[in-house]
Amino acid sequence: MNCRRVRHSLLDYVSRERSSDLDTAKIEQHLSKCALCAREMRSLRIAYNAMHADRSVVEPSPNFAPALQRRIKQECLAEKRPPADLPGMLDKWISNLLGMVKYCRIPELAAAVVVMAFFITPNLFPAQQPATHISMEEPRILEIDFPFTSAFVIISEKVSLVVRPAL
Amino acid sequence: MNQEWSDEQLFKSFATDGNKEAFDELVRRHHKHIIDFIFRMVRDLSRAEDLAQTTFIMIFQKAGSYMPNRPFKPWLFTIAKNCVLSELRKKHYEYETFLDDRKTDALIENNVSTPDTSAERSEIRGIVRTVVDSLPPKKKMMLIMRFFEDMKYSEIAETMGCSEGTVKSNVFYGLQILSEKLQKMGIQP
Repeated sequence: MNCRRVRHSLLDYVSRERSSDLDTAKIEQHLSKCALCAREMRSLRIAYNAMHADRSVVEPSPNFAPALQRRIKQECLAEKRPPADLPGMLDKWISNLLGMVKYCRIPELAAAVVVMAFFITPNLFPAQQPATHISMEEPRILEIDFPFTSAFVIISEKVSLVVRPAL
Repeated sequence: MNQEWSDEQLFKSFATDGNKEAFDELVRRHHKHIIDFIFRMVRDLSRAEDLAQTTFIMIFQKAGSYMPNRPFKPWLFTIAKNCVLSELRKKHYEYETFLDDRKTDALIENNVSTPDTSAERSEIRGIVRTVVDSLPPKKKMMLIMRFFEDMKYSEIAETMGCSEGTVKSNVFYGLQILSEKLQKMGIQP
């Protein structure tokens, strides 16, 4: 048996784990002649025994089992939630939207609406081209006709948007 | 009755007949090893218990996916291992690829001259812990399963999803590092 094969089997030899291809007698014969392999075996055995020096097992808290039972009840055995309340969700969604609008800055909102109107409305309703009037005499007022509403954008120091239902 | 059954019989009874007592018996048999394994990985008992509970909850939920011909213990440890790795990723655990030599050597230098035998054993335990803690997570898991949870190489291989040869070479690597550190401490082969 050569050094390579012996070192390959040293872990099984040291741990006394008998496998079918472990030839203990041949390994011991080699170790009695080869000082390097014998030293390797001894250092491995010291490390192996050192690993067994700490045999303490951590003690779980007495609360472990009850806590596990609680979590199983909550996460595995809990009844399925009732179906979502759609009208309630709609109300919530609208109030969230209004809340968002409330905190939006009006000039930015107006600018966004105008830009969207210019780009989206003609494509959605090709037969109803929005009538956009830009008065050259009063270039500070911009009127836009949407399909169902119309809007005036008054361009001044502060941009503002007025929306009224279509007549 | 349940105490005489094998793990596989108990889990089959739970999975097919919904036998909750069988599940409780499995928890009773394995919870200490699972908590110990996780504790040695995360070094925090409350986190270890929390992750152990998560492991058993996943076992509870995945009862239908268990293959009866598969040994139960490696399956349980596979789930625990995945919980630990997921936790370590969440906590931005830094994967160390090499030993923190400064830390280990400082420990050795501090302990090398202690003459008392029990103190020396305590030193060795400290060094073992430092060496094991400084290994990359998967190598560390293999050492813990082999030496602290008394699992066979075949069980570790199944748990880690690799060959027995890979497990043995990782264990060998860990022991070699430990041996070097012990030699620095003055324990010569």
